[in-house]
Amino acid sequence: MQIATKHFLKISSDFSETPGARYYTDGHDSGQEFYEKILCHAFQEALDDKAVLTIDLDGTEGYATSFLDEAFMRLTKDFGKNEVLSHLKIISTEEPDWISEIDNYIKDVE
Amino acid sequence: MSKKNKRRDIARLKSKQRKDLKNKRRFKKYILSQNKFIRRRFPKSKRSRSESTNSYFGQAIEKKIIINVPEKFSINQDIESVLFFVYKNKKTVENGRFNQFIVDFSKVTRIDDGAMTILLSLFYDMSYKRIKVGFNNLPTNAAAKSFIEQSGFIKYFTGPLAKVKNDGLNVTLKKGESTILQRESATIIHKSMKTVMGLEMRNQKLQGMLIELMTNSVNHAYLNNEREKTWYISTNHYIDQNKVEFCFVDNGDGIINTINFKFKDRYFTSNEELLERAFDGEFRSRTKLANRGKGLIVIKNNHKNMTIKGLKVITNNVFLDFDSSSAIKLKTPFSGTFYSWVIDKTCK
Repeated sequence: MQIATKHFLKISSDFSETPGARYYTDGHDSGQEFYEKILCHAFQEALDDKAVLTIDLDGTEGYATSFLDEAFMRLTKDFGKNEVLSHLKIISTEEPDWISEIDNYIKDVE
Repeated sequence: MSKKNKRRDIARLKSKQRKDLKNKRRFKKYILSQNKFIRRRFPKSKRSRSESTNSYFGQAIEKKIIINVPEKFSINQDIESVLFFVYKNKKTVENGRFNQFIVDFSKVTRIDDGAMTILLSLFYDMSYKRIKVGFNNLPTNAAAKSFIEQSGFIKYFTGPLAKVKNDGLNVTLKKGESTILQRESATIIHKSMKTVMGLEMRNQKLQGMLIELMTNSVNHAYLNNEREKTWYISTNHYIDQNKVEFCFVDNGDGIINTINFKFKDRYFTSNEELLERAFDGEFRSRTKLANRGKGLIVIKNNHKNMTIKGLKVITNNVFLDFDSSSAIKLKTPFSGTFYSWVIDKTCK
């Protein structure tokens, strides 16, 4: 499967350089906001085009576990584990540990 | 007016006068008993330092109190004396007897960032109860005086000495109310990295940790949701050593109380063990959902991976020192959570 260039999301430029915590109620730029406003639509587009959505984690000030957990757990719950695993690619050179961590979030969803 | 009516009016008047007199006597007796209570409750030495008045109902309201900061006001050197001071003053605030606190530092010989941050967080929280906090005397001890002047903590107090201008621009105190301020924490980190590395830069792992701390305070630290959920971050820059000391404090219910509230059925030999296990990720958060409650693990991992150094945690009756891997039971409980750590050039 080829990665279409339009199916590329850089959190720092497409969403926020300072991602926050889990919910809207926690403050600005939450994981819930990222999922509902950006990730959900971008992933749907990638699915429609039978492409892989690439998400670049680099360029932000840093992430809380709750932000990433909320965004990718919701994605997995809404689209299914198999779809997410086959149509999503996470990249990061600054914080490569997050790639396996997000992978765990996705696999842990029941 | 007939003679009969006149007589009746006079009788009513006399009766009213008798009642008033009776009430006056009763009121006087009540005031006297209250004064006796004040004399019994507060020793003369304390009374002489506070202005007391009696309200209309005779209830004793002491308006102003001068509180002497203990000689060793340092988390690193005498943690018990700091916590006892905080505990005692929290109780005084809860009693609602005073509406003005004057802090006197004159006896202080040892002082550090952690103790000052806890003190400031306590006083800032007092302002919600419309209590004014001023500050009276600088320490007579030269080293302690120099610390207060140069650290810049002085600018966060009100009162006569707050006008004393100092060169201390080192300390930044940030307060949050029921929300996570990740943009502000990013700014704090940029400035800290400039002190450590010489130029403003990001530190993603530290930023992640600060968000976890703020999230814990806002979402878990306060079991009573109606309370103001406040937290405080202070940073003290030691420019000549390329080092920054961070302190984070909330005056919530503390990690141990929060865990005990949720896991009532669990048995642990001690609170020290419970806290150590919490940082190992033994407990999920109160939401009971998978992947939650990872904040404490992130904090511990940051110390393990040398992102930060000298991590210390005080919560309820436990002091956890990550450098020496020791957990100490405290005599005086701290109802809240306090973290302190350092970043310097050796950190990754």
